Amino acid sequence: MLELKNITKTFGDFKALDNLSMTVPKGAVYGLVGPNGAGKSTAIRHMLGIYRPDSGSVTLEGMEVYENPVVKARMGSIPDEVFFYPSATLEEMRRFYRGIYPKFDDALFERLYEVFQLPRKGQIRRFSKGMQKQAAFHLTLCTRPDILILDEPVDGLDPVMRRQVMSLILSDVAQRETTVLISSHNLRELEDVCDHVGIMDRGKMLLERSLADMQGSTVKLQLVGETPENLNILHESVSGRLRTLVVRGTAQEVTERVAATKPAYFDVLPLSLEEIFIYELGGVDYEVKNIIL
Amino acid sequence: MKSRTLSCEQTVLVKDITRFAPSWILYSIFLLLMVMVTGSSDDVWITASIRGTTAFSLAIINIIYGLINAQLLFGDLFQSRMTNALHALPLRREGWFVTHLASGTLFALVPNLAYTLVMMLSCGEIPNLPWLWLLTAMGQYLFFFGLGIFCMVCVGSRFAGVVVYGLVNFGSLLVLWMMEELYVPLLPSVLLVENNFLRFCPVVWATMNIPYEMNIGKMEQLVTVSPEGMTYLGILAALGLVLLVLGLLLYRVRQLESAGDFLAVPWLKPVFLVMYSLMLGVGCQWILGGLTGSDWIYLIIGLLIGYFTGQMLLMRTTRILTKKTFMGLAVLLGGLGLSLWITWLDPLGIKAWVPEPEQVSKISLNYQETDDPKIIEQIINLHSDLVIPEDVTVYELDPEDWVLVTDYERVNAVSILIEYTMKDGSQAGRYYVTSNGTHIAALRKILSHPDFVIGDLLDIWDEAWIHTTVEDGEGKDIYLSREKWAELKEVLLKDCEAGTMAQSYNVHNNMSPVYWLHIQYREGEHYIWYNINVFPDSENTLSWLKQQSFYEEYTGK
Repeated sequence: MLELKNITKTFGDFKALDNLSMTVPKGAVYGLVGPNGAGKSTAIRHMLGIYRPDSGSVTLEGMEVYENPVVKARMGSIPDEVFFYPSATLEEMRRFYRGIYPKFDDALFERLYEVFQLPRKGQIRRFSKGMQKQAAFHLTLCTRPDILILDEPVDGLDPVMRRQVMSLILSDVAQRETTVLISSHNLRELEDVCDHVGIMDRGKMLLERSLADMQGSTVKLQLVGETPENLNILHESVSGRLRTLVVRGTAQEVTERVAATKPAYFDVLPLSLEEIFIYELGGVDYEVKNIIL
Repeated sequence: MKSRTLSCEQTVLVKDITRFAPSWILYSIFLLLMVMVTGSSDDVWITASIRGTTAFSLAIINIIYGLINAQLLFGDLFQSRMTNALHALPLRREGWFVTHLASGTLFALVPNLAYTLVMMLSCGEIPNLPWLWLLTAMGQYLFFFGLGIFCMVCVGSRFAGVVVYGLVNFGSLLVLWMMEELYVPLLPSVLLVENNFLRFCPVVWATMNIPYEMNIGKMEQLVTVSPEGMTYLGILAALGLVLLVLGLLLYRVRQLESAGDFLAVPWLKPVFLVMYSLMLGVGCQWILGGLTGSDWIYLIIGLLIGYFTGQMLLMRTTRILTKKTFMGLAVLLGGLGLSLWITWLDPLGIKAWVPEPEQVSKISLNYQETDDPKIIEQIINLHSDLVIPEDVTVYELDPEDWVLVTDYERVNAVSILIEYTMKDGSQAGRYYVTSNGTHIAALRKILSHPDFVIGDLLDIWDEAWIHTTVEDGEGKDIYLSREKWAELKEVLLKDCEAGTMAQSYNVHNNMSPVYWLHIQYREGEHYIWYNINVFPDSENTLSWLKQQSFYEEYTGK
């Protein structure tokens, strides 16, 4: 379990993380989402032991991450902008990683050549952005991490490679119970793979729950008739006679309350992650504004 | 998994060596070229001498090489993507630091060791020279590399690294220059002793004081270890180690998000800002003030330019006109004004300071050095007379009694430069220009002391006779008999006693010497020349010379 407790980090006068707490359960695939500037990348750099928090702690199974090589050797990461030594080839990076990571898997490295089909001797900096990302996956997966932290991991990859990469990650989760944290703006893709979600805004954690709980605790209600009272409505829109409401509560609770008012028509639907994201953030003044330019 | 605290990471070490191979290969080629150039002579003594002499350039090579290696090895800290990627790896910061340190040390040690071995093969007769070379090279490198690393850890960009490294290395010279421009004019007669500042500029000091001396003339002692140079080298190396420890401590607490900033250590920002602003202020005053005579206006203009551009560098924006910035400017100007005012008031009595004779170990009076306690006392007495009373300004004195410290010199004014070396090793200097007859007479009397006039020759006068000649000034040698030689000594000493043998023309009312004694004598295998000027008021010597036949032969009188 990866745990961030009351992390605060300021850059000059700007508070990037404000008493942030979050928990990534062991074996979970955790989606970290939030608007631009929410502090996701800063939080990830704390998880990886790159940044030293002003206050608070980051632990993996109770052990401090910062300046702890034993813990860091169990972590793999793909940053949003991958970086390699200038002029290094994939084989040179393999030798480097092999010397640094005690569990580096050479056999897997060879097998992954078949998946990614990257040149062994070409300089990585001459690869395309997508190929560089693949090279990062190639190397990171071979370190056999217990926890994989990915910042916009499939950004720059073509659709086939996206699926390929996600499939590799999920098979690793299935086989080795790897814990995965993914930060991404592609909520549709996250929804397919994540079982836990955390929504950040302005350096704070707004909401952190399992996806099932999240989808179960907020529903979309479509009805024709008057809006029932005693509903915790997050959002309401009207199109003709049809009202669409986003309501906090389980499907069963909402159904019972709405049915009691006997509307002409109603239906309770699950929310997508994207809808949850939009409506949750709408509650903290981060909603889609109808601006006509 | 083993603990990696303070251990060298082999993978990173190999990476450093291969990644930065161009640097150490170029350095090795440079040393190879030096081997070829300095070993070109067939004469082993000359070869060894040239090799010893090239050591003077070592400090210049090391100041550059130390910076380059520090920049290369710690340059990853300046690029956020790179530094984040590297610090996500399972290595402690101490591991990174120690490994880079080991790499940088190897970059210098291996090529220099190879060079030393080549020297041993070609300078077998002087076994200590190669090892002294290695000791010098590595001692100096340790300092410059340590300083380079310390600077790199303090800054957030390569440019800032070079700037801070330059400021620290040459900071003492900058301080000397700024003090001479700003504060010394407020303390008439006070002279800043350059040596006090030069010793804090290692590249200059180490260039002047390598830990050994070459003397091709003395075959049996070709290499002589200089205690002062060796001590300084030891201090440099120790300082290098201290800087490395400080660098490690700063690296441990470094905020990696500072990559790309000008400075990474917050407390250094005001120090840099003050130094940078003053530098531009004094620079402006120095360059432009001299043209128009409006020193203070240009000082203020330069300070403002320095302060605001410094803020721009530190904040990486041109939008710096904030309340906080103006408050900082007020503090800077207030602090400078206060320090100038305090200097002018001179609460420590620097202007009136005269040392006690027992505090002084050596004095240089108008470049004539002595450690004779009696002469030291006489010079200190003269110094006391020269000090203007606190309540009298120079312009209130009778022109005859002027004791000036400006460049203005009257026809009969005499410059008096006194440089003290105190028993605690510190140095102090005073400079006066006086037209006061009593002062000048006292100066003439002191400078007529045989130590200043005849010097070491006095001790070997009798032995020196054998090969002694007196030259007539037109290339004609006149040989003195042993008796004449003894007589010459006698009359010279009489004039010294009379206080008329001072060798500077300006203490003789600007009269030119009427006779020049060019004395050649032999010391061991070497011929040494000694010159003594005879002025019109050196009556005894002049009278004796006139009695000699060669005087008439020479002058035709």
